[in-house]
Amino acid sequence: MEGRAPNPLLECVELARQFGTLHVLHNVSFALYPGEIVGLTGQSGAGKSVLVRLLSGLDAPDSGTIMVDGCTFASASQAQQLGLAVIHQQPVLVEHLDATSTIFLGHEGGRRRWSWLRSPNQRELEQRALRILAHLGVTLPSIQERVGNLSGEQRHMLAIAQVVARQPKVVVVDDPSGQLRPEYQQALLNQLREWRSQGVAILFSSQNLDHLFASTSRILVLRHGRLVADEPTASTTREQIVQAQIASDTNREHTPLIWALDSFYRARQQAETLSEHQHVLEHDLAAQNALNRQLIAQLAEQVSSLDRANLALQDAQRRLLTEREQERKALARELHDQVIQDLVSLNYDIDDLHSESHDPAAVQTRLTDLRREIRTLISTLRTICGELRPPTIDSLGLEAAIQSWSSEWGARANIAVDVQIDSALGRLPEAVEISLFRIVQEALSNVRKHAQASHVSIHLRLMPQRTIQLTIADNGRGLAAPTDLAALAASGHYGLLGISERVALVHGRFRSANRPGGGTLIEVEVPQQS
Amino acid sequence: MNQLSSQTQSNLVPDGSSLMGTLRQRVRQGNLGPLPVLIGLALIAIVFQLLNDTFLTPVNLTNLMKQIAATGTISVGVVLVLLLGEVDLSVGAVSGFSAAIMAVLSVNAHWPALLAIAAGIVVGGLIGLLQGFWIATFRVPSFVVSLAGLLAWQGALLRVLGTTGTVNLTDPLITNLANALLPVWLGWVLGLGTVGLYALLLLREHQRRRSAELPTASVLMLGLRIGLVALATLLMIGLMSINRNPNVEPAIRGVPMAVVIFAVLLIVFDYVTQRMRFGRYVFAVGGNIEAARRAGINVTGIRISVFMLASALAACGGILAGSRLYAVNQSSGSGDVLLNAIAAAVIGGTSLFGGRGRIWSALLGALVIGSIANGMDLLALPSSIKFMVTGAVLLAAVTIDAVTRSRRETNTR
Repeated sequence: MEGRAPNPLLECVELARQFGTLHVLHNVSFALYPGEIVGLTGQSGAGKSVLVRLLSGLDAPDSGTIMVDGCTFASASQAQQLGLAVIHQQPVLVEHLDATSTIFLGHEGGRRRWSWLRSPNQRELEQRALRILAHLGVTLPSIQERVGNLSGEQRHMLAIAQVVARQPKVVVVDDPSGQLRPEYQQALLNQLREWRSQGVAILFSSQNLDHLFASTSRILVLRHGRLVADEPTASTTREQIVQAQIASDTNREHTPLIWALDSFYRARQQAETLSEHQHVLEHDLAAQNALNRQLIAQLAEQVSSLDRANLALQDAQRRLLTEREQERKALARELHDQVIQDLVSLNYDIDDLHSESHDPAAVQTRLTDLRREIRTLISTLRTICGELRPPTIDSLGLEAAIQSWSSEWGARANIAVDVQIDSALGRLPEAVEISLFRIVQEALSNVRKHAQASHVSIHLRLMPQRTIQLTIADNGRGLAAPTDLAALAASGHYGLLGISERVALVHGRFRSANRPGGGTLIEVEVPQQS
Repeated sequence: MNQLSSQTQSNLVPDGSSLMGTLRQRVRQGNLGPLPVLIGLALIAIVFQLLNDTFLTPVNLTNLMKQIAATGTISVGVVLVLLLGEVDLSVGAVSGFSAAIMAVLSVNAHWPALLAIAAGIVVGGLIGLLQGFWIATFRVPSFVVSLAGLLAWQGALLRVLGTTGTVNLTDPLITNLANALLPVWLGWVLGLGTVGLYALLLLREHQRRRSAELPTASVLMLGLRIGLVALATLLMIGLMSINRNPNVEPAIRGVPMAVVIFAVLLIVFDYVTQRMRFGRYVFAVGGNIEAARRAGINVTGIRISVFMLASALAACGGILAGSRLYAVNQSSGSGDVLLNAIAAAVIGGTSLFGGRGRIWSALLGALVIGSIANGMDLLALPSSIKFMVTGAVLLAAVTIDAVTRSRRETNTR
């Protein structure tokens, strides 16, 4: 609790107001000190609005006094001259006036005597109006826009700007925020806090307990026109405030009929509260429901993409199997057609040699022939092995393998190949080397088959974070955008799919795109350790 | 939906970016300003000129201006009261009564002319104070209070004039008030000075607003306004500077004093309503009394002072009328004076519903009514026809106001 200045800025003593026989306010006394926000709450019909009207000077109390800064007042204009300003729940503005004149209406340039004879400087006022509106975060079509053309919210904010422009000492707020969007509600609360820090005393009348607990230091509760509670916000709870708002007066003697009416009234009130809560609950449920539905949709999407991945995997496996079969068949054919035939013929030759052992010169020639044939056989076998697995990769590494393969391929396909390989690359794990080599092979064969390119460049670079980047770029006709691997595979083109599978095997990333200048770019990134 | 479209419209056409755009926007919003009246005036002038070719002669036009000066002056006060959303039916009677006070003090009691004139105006002001106080304090409708005033002050007029019923004004200062002619050179100096000052103020304000990066009207609009005011003023002075004597000698030329007084009152009260806080409060109280009260405006004070001003202006009008006719009699301020003053304000474009209008509408409306009356006099038509035509014009003017008002409201809601 902060130290209180001895003089209250706003003081009400035993205020009473009655309309006919209806006592709307009864003995209401309280005081507001500089730099504090005091909340005022109560059910509708408790007398809050009447109290606000009394405080604003628009209505006079039947008895009791209101003092602003120690002085009483008899009219709204006197109250404002004392430095009191009111933000009403509903703005009432002059439709034909422009925004600026509305903001400064009634105090265009100080509170000097005879000032109504002066002519205000409209230019200066408009500049000040722009500043105030910017401070509140309000945008208007124009500072000269007529009030009649503004929206309800903009009118509310103009009414608030009116009070800001007044630089008041005491502000009475009849919470208009039920009709404002959250940003504006926040702007209002911020403005209240700013006033508090400037030493303004604020009475904040609201039914929104959130707002009261968020900004006030004390809360007054009105019930049936009486002030029934005056609690420091820090030491009270919502339950206590609500109880104070609705509890009936137990000391009073009730006749059964009044009891019945009272309990009926209370029951109705509770039913209203209940239905309000139910409404809130329904709203929450609906929100929850929407969230759930979103989650389910996401889940379904993930499942279906998993399915698709699964299908692709099965497809790849099947292809692997058939490829392996084909490879075996080819190997068998090659061995059978070439090597075995050669070996068979060598065998016959050796048999012949046996029968011709009497002539040493002939034997010599046959042996020379045999040796040559065996050498041919060996080289054939070596080619077969080389195709199965590049010999250079094991002995000389990836760089040499790519260099030799691509120059050989370039000569065959009559396409210029430019190979640039990072010299710091060194030896890599076997799986990575062989994958990269196969990717180059696959890509180059793609280029030859589809691209109609005249130049291919292959770059192998060491990237930060221990990844290797392989890019293969050609200047051919490019991909038929966009690349859909599944569609390509379905139509029997496995090139890019094969590359992407190999990349996945070594946990890398694969991207294929058209180059801006024409041609295809294949980009592969794999981690150095896989 | 409507709001949306008007919003986009105002976004597409920022204030005054193009003349046609501004015009179209104003038509859409039902904010036509003085345009219908100006068109009406032009039509009236053409019709009467075709029927009788003396209508547009310097003699007749000067006469017309002198005739409308008194009605116009009363009408300025009526505009103020209408801006407040009230009505004052006593202005005619007050104008007659005040003129009678001045006449009796000057002729019978031999007061100095200036003192007599001042007394007449003060009496008018006091009457307004009484009526305004009654209206603002006891919440009696202004219609009733001023109707009571109409009867009471007419009775007072008869009482003051006594048995003779007519007081002929003899003091030259009083009769010159309406009838003296300004030297031609002075007329030109005043006219050019006014137009120059008007242009200067407008341009300076425009310049300052631009350098302060505030919204400004387009230069074209500005030029149009200055040009129109300059054209009308200088044309008038030029016409009145032509010799009006059919016998050529002695030359009768120059602006009549009544016109000068009327013009000065117009300018002063236009400044009061458009620039001064007082004027803004009048608009606010007339536009929405609750809003004015909330804004801390002394509503009672504003209402009382407006009724005071209206009655004082009515007194001025009555004195001008008496001065023009060299006499005050039992019919001063009765008959069609009141109705013409109110009709002039409304025809000029002041809303009967309060909070909207300009002082200039007194001039424009008085011109319309004066032209019709003058033109029909030239055609020697009976007053029966005169009244009926004036009634029709009044009805047309109020209808235009009501229709544009409803259009404005459907447009903004």
